[in-house]
Amino acid sequence: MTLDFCGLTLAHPIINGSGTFDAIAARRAFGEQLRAAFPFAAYVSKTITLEPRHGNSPPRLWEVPGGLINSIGLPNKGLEG
Amino acid sequence: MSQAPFARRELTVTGMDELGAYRVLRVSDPDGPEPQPGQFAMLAAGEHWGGGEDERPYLPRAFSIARRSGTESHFLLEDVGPGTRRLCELRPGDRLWALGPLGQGFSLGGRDSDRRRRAILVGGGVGIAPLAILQDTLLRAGGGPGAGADRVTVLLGFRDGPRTHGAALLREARVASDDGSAGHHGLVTDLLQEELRDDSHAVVYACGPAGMLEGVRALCASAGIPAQLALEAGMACGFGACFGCVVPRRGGGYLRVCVDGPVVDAAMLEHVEEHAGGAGGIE
Repeated sequence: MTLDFCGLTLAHPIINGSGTFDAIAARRAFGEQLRAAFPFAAYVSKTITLEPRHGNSPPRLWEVPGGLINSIGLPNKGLEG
Repeated sequence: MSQAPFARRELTVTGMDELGAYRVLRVSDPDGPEPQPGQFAMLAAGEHWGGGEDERPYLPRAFSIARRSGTESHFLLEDVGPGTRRLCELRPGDRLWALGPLGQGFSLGGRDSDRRRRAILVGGGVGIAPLAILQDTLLRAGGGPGAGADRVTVLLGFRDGPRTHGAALLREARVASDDGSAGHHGLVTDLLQEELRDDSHAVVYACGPAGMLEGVRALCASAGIPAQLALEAGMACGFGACFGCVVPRRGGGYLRVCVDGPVVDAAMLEHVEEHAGGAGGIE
């Protein structure tokens, strides 16, 4: 399953979409199990903006045929946070 | 809080019991950690989940754990959309995927002053589910808040007659119904108001629709009574990674229902808003 992707050698072809997975929150929920069985070959972090952002007001998720539309709004503590 | 295994578990359905308009889904879960009252699990049927005519349901659905009985976990279902409908179709022997227990449950250690208060459990509709395991725990506990049957009061509200059968999930509940088909003709918050008038030395644990929770929050806030509210929300991940299931928090910003809740101190909310939970189409 190993492949080359933009100069990276990945163990398998699954990576998370941008902004969809807060690994810190997942580690809080699952502890060391997450590190031992990390599901992605490469990790795309959430966005950090210069200023803090609360993100969009809800609703942020909507299930649609075949998937999910999300509009989270880049919540983050800002560069200094 | 119990830490969930980092993988969904494949479980076997052991029963599906009718409870008026609701169903109690029972599954064998011998390896699942013991849940705290108020925690939830993300559920998806083993077959026919996604890929159907309109490829829904797609996301797993979040359900409070209603009860643990030996190695069985119980969930209260109401058919209100493609996901809940599919789960209601499950039969003994069918497979179910479950991730959990997740989230923050009811805090029973509490402040010393809370331990001496009467526990009032207030539920509405399918939201009565986490109150069943909470009642079990309180009645078992020697020194927790509301310990002893005479110190736990259960108030449940339902829309109509078929739904009032859900009251059988708990013991010795006072019931209110919107249509007057059983118990008090009116809102469950009417019953709460009565109870608090008689004895306000209480702590309130509530779960139900947003309108009911807002009524409970407002009553308790005006009476200075501590309250814990279990919020309902459609979720995508269930463990804090996606930031999808948010509700506004007092003072600005948002709480994630899945990791900051689903049970929150009522004082953390300015209001419980309709459509709380920040998600749509996940029913």
